[in-house]
Amino acid sequence: MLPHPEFAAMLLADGRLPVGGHTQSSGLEPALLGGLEPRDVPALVATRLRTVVLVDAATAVVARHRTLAGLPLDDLQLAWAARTPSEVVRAASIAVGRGQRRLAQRLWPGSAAASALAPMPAPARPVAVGAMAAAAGLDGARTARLVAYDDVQSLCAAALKLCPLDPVETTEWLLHAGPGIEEVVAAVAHLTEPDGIPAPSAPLLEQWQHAHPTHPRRLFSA
Amino acid sequence: MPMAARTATSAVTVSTHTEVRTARVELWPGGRSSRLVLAAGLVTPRVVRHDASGAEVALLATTATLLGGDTLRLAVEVGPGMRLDLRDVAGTVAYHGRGLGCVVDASLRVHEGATLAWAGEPLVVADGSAVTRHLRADVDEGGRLLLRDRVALGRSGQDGGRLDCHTALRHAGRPALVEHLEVRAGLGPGALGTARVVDTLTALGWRPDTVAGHAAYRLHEPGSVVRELLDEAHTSGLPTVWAAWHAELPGQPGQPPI
Repeated sequence: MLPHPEFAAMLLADGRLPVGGHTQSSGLEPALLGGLEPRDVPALVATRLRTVVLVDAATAVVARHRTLAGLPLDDLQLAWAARTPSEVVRAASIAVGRGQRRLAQRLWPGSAAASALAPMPAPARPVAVGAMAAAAGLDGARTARLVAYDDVQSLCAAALKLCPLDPVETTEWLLHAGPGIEEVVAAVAHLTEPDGIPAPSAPLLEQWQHAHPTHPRRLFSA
Repeated sequence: MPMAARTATSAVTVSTHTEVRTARVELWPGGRSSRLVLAAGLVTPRVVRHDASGAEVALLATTATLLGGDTLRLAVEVGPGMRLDLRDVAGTVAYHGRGLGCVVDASLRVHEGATLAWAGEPLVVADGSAVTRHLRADVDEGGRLLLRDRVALGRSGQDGGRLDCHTALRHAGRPALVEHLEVRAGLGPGALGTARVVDTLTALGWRPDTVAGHAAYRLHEPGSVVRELLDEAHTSGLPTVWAAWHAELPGQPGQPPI
């Protein structure tokens, strides 16, 4: 039996989900090391929502659709990889994707999601999240919202470890990201084809993230 | 010199503003000498060198491109085993469009065992211009593409116009790089920073050696990308990377293929 979709969305959006999300700063640590001023963090969130988050949310929506339709996810993973040129950024996503895959197989064994992910030992994070969203009964809009919310939430949680901040402030950032998150949802919730996934890039974000492993002192893997 | 110019009648479409003729450069194997097929559009191909296995062709702008309403179409095809070196004679400026946008549309096809090297000069988007650029490339198994692509925001002293670059590169039928790069003033942090110039070098069809000091993205398909975000175009370090990667291409210009 499927959980209530509100319950399922809360479960999957929980930052304590055991998928290794705590190792990710949604590109914030690379950005700060690259010279971003802490006061520009909310604007960085807006850039992410317009670019990389849009790609990931769209990928997850298409993964959900294909999982329910019993279609393989390989072409989708290729479409995502073609929109993620840095091998460093792909590896960081896949590290979490593996955790998501393990969780999906444990929580929903025998589901279409478990079958779709079975032949994919290294799914990208949004591919695995989208497949799990199918198992959890989320619709396309909830799937997109989950991915976007999770990205901003991870960034806000990481900000507390990286800059001296009042936690109330980062919670406020998250709340204020709401309209931007809904723009992502509206743009991608209907997608069904890998070719239809948008490909907006953020060249500087990409450079910062690509350089991240070369920094000797870092708290987050990405 | 076997050179057949032809009008690409099948690709002629009429926009609201001007007739759109596709400029073409095709290089095909043909017995003892290779065969070039050339056609002029908003740019005119000029043959610099042509021999049995390859050719070098320069693209020359014949009118004051790009004006509002213009569509610059270019189709390049390199037949199996051939090598084409393509270069721009000068950069392209997109002028104030008086409310009209313009389009640059380039399709590249590299067949099995073929090589295409294109040393692109900058596309400059001046104040008041709105450019949509589509760049598609299909590289077959065993083919190689080396592409330098520079875009610049504004002529000196300007904020610049708007540029949307849609790039879709495929290798052996699979997507290798898909990007919508937005270039305009006022994008948020993490987009372009203070850069006015985006200089990109893309190798597709093989994995070139890394060049010290130039971080390269390793695509999931065989290929690499080096990109620099610059305040001034002339400070680019990409000529060094171009020289190193260009030297890895089979069949150097003027020499028979290996």
